[in-house]
Order: sequence, then C-alpha cells, then structure tokens
Amino acid sequence: METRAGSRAGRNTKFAYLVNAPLIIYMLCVLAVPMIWGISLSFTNKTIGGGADFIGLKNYITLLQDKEYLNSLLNTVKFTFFSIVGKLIFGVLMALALNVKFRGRNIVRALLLIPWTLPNIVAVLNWRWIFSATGGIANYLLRSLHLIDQDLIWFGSAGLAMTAIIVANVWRGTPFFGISILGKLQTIPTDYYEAAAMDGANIFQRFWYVTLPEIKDVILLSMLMSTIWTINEFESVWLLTGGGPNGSTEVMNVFSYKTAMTSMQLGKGIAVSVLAMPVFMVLIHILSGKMLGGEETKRRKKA
Amino acid sequence: MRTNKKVTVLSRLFIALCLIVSLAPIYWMLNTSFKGQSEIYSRIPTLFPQEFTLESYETLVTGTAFLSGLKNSLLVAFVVSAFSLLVAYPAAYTLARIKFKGRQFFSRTILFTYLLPTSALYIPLYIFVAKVGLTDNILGLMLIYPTFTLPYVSWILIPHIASIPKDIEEAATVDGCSRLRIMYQIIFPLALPGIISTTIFAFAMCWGEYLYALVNVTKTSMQTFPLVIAGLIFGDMYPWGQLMAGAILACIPILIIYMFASGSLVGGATDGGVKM
Repeated sequence: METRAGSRAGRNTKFAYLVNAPLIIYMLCVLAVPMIWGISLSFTNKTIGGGADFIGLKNYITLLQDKEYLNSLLNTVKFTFFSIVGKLIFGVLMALALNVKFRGRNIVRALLLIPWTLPNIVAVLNWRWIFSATGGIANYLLRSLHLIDQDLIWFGSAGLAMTAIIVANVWRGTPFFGISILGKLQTIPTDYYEAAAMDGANIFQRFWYVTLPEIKDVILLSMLMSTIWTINEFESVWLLTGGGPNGSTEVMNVFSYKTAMTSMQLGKGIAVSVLAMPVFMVLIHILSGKMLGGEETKRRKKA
Repeated sequence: MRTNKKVTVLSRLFIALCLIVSLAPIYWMLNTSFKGQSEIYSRIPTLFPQEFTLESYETLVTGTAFLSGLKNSLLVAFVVSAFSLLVAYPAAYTLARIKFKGRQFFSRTILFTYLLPTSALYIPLYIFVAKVGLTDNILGLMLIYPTFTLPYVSWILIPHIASIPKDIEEAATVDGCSRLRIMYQIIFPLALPGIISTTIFAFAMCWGEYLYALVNVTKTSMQTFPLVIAGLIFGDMYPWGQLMAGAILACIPILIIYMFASGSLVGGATDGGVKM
C-alpha cells in the first residue's frame, strides 16, 4: 500500500512539473535572470549604451547622500500616506452606504466601480484637464462657490500639486476599497445587528463592536495591497506634475525614471529599486501571511 | 426606528454624492471631446457643447498615430492575455488540486511575483529587451508583459478552481480519465466564468500599461495608445480636445468587456485572500 501511495505522489509531482514547465521556464528566463542580473548591475556604473565597470557600493553611497533622492522618499511617504487614508475613509463609507438595500443597487455598484476600471492614463489626463490653469473646471467651481478670488495655478505650487496627485489617486483607488469591503459586509449575519440593537447599542457602537471586527481583515488586506501600488505609482505623477514644481511631488519612481532614463545611469536607477526592496519585502511578507494563512488563524480564534 | 430612517437618508445622500464625484469627471471628458477649440478654453465652461463638433476626433484619427496605437495595444493585450491563460491555467489547476513536492514554494513564489511592483523590474527588463534585440518593437512588450499577467492569472484562478466540487473529478478518475483530460475537458469548462473574467482583467492590465511601453518603445509606428496619447502633449501645450477624445476612445473597449464581466472584476485583487 505504502509503495503505491508513494508512487502516486511521485506521479503527481511529475505531472505538476510537466504541465508547469512552460511557466517555470518563462519565469526563470524573463523574470529571475534579468532581476538577478539587474541587481548585480547596481554595483556597476552601467549607462545606456555604455559598458559596466564594477564600482562596489558607490551607487548606494551617492544615493544615500543625494538630497534629491532622500526628498523623493519623503514625497513618496507623504503621497502614499494621504492617498491611503483618503481611499480608506471614502471606501469604508461607500461600502457602508452600499450595504443598505435600495432599488438599482447593482447598477449603482457597477457605476461606482468605473473609475477603478479605467486605464490609469485616462484617469490621469482627465484630472490634468480638470486642474488645468487655463479652462480647468476645478478653478471655475471654486470661483463660483466664492472659495477663491483668483484662479489657482494647481501645478505651480508645492502644496496644490501634491493635493492634485492625491485627489487623482484617491478618485481612482476608492472603488477598490469600497467594493472589497462591501463584499465582506454582505456576509455579516443581520442577527448580529439585531442582537446589538436589543442591547441598546447606537449606530456608532454597532459599527465599532459589530462591523469593524468583521471587516478588519479585508481593510488591512486592501490597505497593504494599495500601499504597494501607491508606492509603485509612476505615470500618474509623471504625467500630472512631472515631479515638479521644484521636485515637490517627485516621488521615488519619478526620481528613478529620471536617473535611469533621462540621465541614462542605469546602475544607479536599479540601486533605487534595490533600496526600496526591503520595504516591499516586508509588505509582501505580511500580505502573503494574511492571504495564505488568514483562514487558519480565523479558525483558531473561533475555537 | 427613527435613527434607522436617518441612516437611510444619509446613506442615500452619500451614494448620490459618490455617483457625482465618480462620474462627473468622466462626463467632463466626454463633454470636452465634443467641443470646438475656442469653446474648450472659454472663461465660463459650458455644461453641454454649444456647438457640437467631431473636430477633435477627426484630428486625432487622421492627424496622429492614434489608430495604429490602438491596433498595437489591441494586439499586445490580446496575445499576452491568451498566452497567459494558456501557460498559467496549469499552475492554478495543480496548485488548487494536486499535492506535489515543492507546492508550497511554488505557490509562495507566484504570490510574491504577483505582488512585486513593476517599478522594481522596469530597468532590468529594459536591459533584457535590448539584449534580445526587441527594443522599439511590440514583440518586446509581448515578451515582458507576461511577467505581471502570468502570476496574476495563476493566483486569481486558484480559488475559482478550488471551489469546484471534488467528487466530479473523483468520478472521472474512477472512469479512467487521465489527469490531463480531467484538467482540460472537465475542470476547464466548469471554471470558465472565472477564467473569462480573469483573462479579461489581464487584458485590461496590458491595455493601459504605460511604464514598460514608455521605456522600451520610442518609434511611433510601434507605440501603444497610452504612449501616443501622452505624446500629443508638447511641453506646456495640451491639445485638450484631442486628449479627451483619445481617452474616451481608449475607454470604450474596457467598458464593453467590463459590462460583460461586471461583478467578478474587482473581486480579482483580494479574492485569493478573502474567499480561500
């Protein structure tokens, strides 16, 4: 019996690797090899069209002393933090509001998802136009509401430019939070709320003691995922502000792009990505722990 | 009871606000695309085009490389999503159904590559594409886009396949079906709804991709539509009519397939964690 079971496991393993061979070969050749090669190039002075001489840790040392680089990290943190907070608040509210039954809810849900489904470049250009200093609707609306007397030059001042890229990011990312959280909300049994209402809990208490513990995990999951994407953001910032004015919105990837593609210093550009890897590793580690083991920990808690 | 009513009213109001904030920018894009040059820049913006014109669309289609951009994007997205399904389906199937040596490592690697941001890879992939001589060629994009679509498709399909009752497979095994036939002829059709929505999402990922395309392609005839649209901007000159017309046209394919797959799309990203 045992040998038969053993041979069956062997057959399974053989089958699995046979059908997965194309995937494994592709990932090795196009992902693993270029990545390892790339990391090794970060220890050289490789430029576009130029050779690569080994220079040790020089790229890393110059980066860590480079004010522009450190400033880009700070901008990334600012941009990511405010974007995530915005997406989280509006996403939770959207999910709660959609969890109340009403006619046409499915259509509304689909419509609210549209910003998330648009190609990023479309969303970005749309907001560039809305915030445009000449003919932009944002200035017109603020003027009509008498909030401003003179047109704002949105991409001309540090604070306003940062606001603009955060607004664009929150607009596109909120539905992801909203719909993910809604999915979880709909699985909460209504008797939980009835029981809480019987105990005299008001709406905020019901949210705090009944809803929040149930949606905590999906909130964390959405936040971690969105954090990875937001740190990773390039085109929305590049096309909205180009990193300006005066580097005030220059996030890490815009800096990396400028270093690698405009200044043609590939080795140094890769070093920027390598320095960010520990952060991604930690985020991915927590996230994959949640995604792979979430079910088990939940079961343990309940037992 | 009274608070309940208040909550209902408040939530309806909030939904209305959400709808306005979500859709008004899209309406504004549509509105701008149908206006003439002078009306676009008028001091007091008009809610409807006073003079409805297709001028912007005409210039975009006849005067720029937009159509060839759409064609290139379509080609790349189609080839890459089909290839991804073909190569990633076995991974999802084996991870959902078969116990094999190294399974845990395999699934962790797929999850890791799925979550790995593209920005960490764009320079190494740029060097790779140059080395194989495919710079300035959509074949180069077809070669590297699966680095993000393959892990995505594999990972997202796992719960779809895992949710299919095991008895079906056991019955087939007793009937003497081979593993390969079970995988393709029995499970594949049953997982089809999930497969379709996942493939569509992979298509959308390639359709709007900007960074890899920007870095690897400069020749106009090989550009995908995001590059063509962004390329219409000259310094501080933004031809808003054409830009908005291009944005609208680029949304249409996505909105059409989105309507077909509505509902199962977003799940996408967190499904793996929430449902498994």
